[in-house]
Amino acid sequence: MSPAKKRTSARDKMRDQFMVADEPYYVAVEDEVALFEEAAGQQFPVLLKGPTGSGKTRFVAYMAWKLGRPLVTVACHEDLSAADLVGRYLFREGETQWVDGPLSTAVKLGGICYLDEVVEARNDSLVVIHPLADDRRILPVEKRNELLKAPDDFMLVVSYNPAYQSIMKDLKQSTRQRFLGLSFDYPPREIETEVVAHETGLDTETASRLVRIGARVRKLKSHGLEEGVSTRLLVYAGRLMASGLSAEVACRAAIVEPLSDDPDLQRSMAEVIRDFF
Amino acid sequence: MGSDDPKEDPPGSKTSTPGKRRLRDRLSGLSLTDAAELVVLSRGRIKDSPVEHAQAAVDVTAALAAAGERLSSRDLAVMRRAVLLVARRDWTAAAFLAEALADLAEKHPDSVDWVGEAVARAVQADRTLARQLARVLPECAARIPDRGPRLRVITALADLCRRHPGLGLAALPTVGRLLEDGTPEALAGFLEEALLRASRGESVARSFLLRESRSGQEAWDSSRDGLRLPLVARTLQLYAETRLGRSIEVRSTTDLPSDLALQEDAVAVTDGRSLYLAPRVDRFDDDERNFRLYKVATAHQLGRIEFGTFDLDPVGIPGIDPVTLDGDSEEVRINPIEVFSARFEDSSLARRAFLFAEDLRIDAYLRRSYPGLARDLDELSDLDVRTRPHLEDLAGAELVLEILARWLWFGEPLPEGDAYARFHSAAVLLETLRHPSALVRDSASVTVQLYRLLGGEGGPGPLPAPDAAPEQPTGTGLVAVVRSTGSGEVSAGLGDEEGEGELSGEGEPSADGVLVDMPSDALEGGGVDGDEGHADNTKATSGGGRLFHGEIIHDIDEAKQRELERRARAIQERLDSRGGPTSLREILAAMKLAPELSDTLLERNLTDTFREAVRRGVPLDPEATDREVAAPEVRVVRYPEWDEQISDYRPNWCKVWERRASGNASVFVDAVLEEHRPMVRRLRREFQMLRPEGLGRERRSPEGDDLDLDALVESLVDRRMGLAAEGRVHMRRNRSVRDVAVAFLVDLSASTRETVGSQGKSVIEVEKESLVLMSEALEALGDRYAIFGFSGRGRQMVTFDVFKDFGERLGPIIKGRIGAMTYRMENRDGAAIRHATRRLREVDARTRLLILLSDGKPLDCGCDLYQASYAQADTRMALREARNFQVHPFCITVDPDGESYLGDMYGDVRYTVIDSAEALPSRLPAIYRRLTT
Repeated sequence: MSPAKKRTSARDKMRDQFMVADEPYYVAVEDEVALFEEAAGQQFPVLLKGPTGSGKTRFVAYMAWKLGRPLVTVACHEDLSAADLVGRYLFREGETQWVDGPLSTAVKLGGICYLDEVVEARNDSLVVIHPLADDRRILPVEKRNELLKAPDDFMLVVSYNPAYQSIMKDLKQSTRQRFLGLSFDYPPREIETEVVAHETGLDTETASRLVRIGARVRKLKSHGLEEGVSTRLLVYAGRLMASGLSAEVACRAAIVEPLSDDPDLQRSMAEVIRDFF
Repeated sequence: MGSDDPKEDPPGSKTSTPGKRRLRDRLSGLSLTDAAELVVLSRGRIKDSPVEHAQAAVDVTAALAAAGERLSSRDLAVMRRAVLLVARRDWTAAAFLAEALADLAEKHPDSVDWVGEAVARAVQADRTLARQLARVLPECAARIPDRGPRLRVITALADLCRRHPGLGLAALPTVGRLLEDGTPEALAGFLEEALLRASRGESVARSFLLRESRSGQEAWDSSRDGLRLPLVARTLQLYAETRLGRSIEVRSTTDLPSDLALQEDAVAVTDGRSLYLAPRVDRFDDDERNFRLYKVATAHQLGRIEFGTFDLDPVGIPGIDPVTLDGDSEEVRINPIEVFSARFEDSSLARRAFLFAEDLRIDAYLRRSYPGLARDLDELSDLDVRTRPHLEDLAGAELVLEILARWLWFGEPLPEGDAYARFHSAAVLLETLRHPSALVRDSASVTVQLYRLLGGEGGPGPLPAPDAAPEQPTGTGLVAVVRSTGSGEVSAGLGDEEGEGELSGEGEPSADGVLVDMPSDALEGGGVDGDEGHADNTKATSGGGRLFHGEIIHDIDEAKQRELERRARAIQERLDSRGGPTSLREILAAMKLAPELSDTLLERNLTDTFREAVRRGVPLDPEATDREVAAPEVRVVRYPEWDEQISDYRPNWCKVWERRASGNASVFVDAVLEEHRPMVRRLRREFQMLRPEGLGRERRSPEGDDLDLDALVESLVDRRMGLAAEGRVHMRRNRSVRDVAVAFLVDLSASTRETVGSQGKSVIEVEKESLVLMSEALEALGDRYAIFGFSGRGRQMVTFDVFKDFGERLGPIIKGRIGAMTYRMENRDGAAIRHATRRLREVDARTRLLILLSDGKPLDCGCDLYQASYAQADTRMALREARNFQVHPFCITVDPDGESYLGDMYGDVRYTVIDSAEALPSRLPAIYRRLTT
């Protein structure tokens, strides 16, 4: 086996590890699939924004599957440093070893690098993605004095939730303006019903009641509820119900308790739920 | 009489003072005997403070004289004895007592002595207390019908005041409310419990009495039957808003004007905008079911809003000639239902018929849309059946509606005999409203037919002139069919009139006086152990409704507002003619604050307020006072203002006067800190933890961006020597530098003096409390902060008070200033935001945050108008400017109705609305944390 082939096979093995094997369930709401495909084709990075549990991550997984590209996901946090993304030397067994970060991995594999909740990372860490996110499509690895050139299949996707109110967590304009933007929201009633029914195995009528509860609870947002109930939570509630728990117990555990600690808010949510079941 | 005659020479007076003159005037109105008695009684006392005592004595005599007109001579004697008993010790208390006692003496003369003695004893403990007691006790006692509990309450209050005057003084103002809130027995028990606790310590008993302690709150709550509205109001409000998707106010029906003549037991009332709920629901023994009733009643009212009752188009009802309405006419603005029913000769009957029909439709909609609610409705039906009114108590339209209701809701039989067919066709017609496609217009057209069946004269016509007196309805239609004889038989006269043929369709009535066989159990008050339920609970004298249906009323606020504005304009005119400076808005605010004041008193108050402002040194004519005010401490800066109309700035339009706030009321701050001690401790701890641990590099870290060479060498050496190396050879940079400067900009406009929430605190007090707590948190955190307040009047005089500057330390002086913070005049938000932005930019910080605390719309009615969309556009622009300067604005509004315009005004700037103001002190630090982490 030639060294080149050996390298390729190691890369393939790595690649397989990041492939999305089964088709993720996703229902398109508008033209986001076509848009994303176009962005992938034209090598534009994409910014997804929307409330938690509105399907951003699921969408990226679905698109990775559809495009047949590996998906490297990074959950961003405040201590995320540039080295965490690019890679670093580690000291092992008496010598230094280079270890690739997820960003370098994705570049090398020619896959989608998905930075989830990107605002959680510090702005100075994020500057490393700038050369990748414009037409240069390169990743300078300073410590190794290397310049990784991204293959055509490489794509950068970031997501964040605009509802967070921290002024510390705002993307810099210089970062934002490198991306195409796609806005996510809770899907319209029919689609959300379809999603809940599919994910839970409940009949459409019950799923639609859950969705209507969701729509009403979301109206509480300006009254102390930081965020409305996510489709994800509705699915949780539905799964609990499908497994035989009563609607009241399931919704309490999946909707009322996770959303708020305020007893008044909790009670009013419970009453809304009661109206439907 | 000689020289003692008060008419000639009021006792004890030496010189002619205004007080004396007033006294003389009042004395001159008395009869000679009264005056004589008065002077004899007051001899000895009058020496101390002649004018005050003599005046009190006059008041006593006058009150007794007035009571004499109402009371029998025996009751008057009882009352007189009690008053004079108190008068021996304190004339002022006696005067208060005399005024308050007449009512009690009339209702329960047997308790008057007790009250007199209680007050007389209280005088020995504390004079102020006795005076308070003299006012409160008779009124409370008069409101308790049963003798036992009445005496218990009197005794308990008297004991409390005698033994613990301080407690009594604190408790008296709340007693009236407690009595409104619960039963007399509960009040007596509560007071007795407090008395027991007082022996253990006054402060414990005080918080118990004021229900500030949990035990007090619980003792009170559990001592009374039923579920009180305050406990569930917020839940129900949130529920309502969830259903409607917009904000709706939940208030108590006791807030409604008493002249509305509502059904006494209406649980919920709506005007389409606010929801009024009964102050208490006690139909059931357990609060869970009481809550059900609250909720179902709320749900029904919401159903009216949600399913279009208020969308009724009073003009285009099928089968009625359309009329044209003047778009500005009062009727259109008030309520479509009133307009609709006004088109009938007997409008109240039409209204009744409409609501009956409409409620059927709404309930059907609710059942279809909310399956869970349908279950609740069914559960309540049991109670509903039990508490129906007796048929024999009803007559006319009410009886017809009740019979129809029983058939429609509970499937009870319709009267048999000849009337059956006609009842049946009416019922069938109504039944169509339960169809999913039924709309409010269908209810309206059913109403037209139902109206005739109920005996309403004439069809709907054009709108009557406002002053047209409604004609008396004459008995026709179904009403003529049922005429209760009170003996279990209903005789029916079948009228033959035009217009009902379309309903009955067949069997033209032949003669009057046909007997109708009613099912006998239906007549005996409705089935299941009717007597019990009836005796306990039912006050209803009207038929046909269900207990949770509630009422619809005019838009109270709208009508009230119009009336207020009319009065305000009149006041303004008068003030203007006298050269007064007051704006319409100030007048309106004053009227809302003191609704009990007459217009003349209001005028006087407003003039005083104005004078007070002058005295405090607020310059009123800014152009003229530039030099005068420009003390070294004052900084005057001009700012432009955005004019939406011309889409351009008005340069140098506003003048902002920045000055150091004065005042020394650190007591307030200390009290707040004391009151919230646990929260302060928690805040300090929490914010301390946010404090970054300092800069620099963290060496010997298990991971990091770089290798720590020293550690690496050591590690290699260790390894060579055969020691275990830890592998901590990395170095990481600690970048958690916190560099935040924040300015709190507080709206000090006059409207912030309005009280909010249940504790009777004003908006400004709540804001101050929040700032005190916030300061503590920020001191722990180490962020730089400043506290500014703004108000002013007109564009030339926007005052900008610095309560704490960025560089200043939080010490007694600053606390003194914050404590003295108070409301002033108007709020011109734009200029103040611009100045605060400038102040923030002068601070060297990486993150600059501007937090605006306000109570709603910007408004400045000084010499030019700064209001509505103009003011909102300017505010929006000022906030946008701030963002351009890298200052992050965040707006916090204490205004439950704010939602509608705030989004517009704050644009893409972040904001939050605090719906219950009491939550602000705890919410503000939480918001700040969220914003900056």
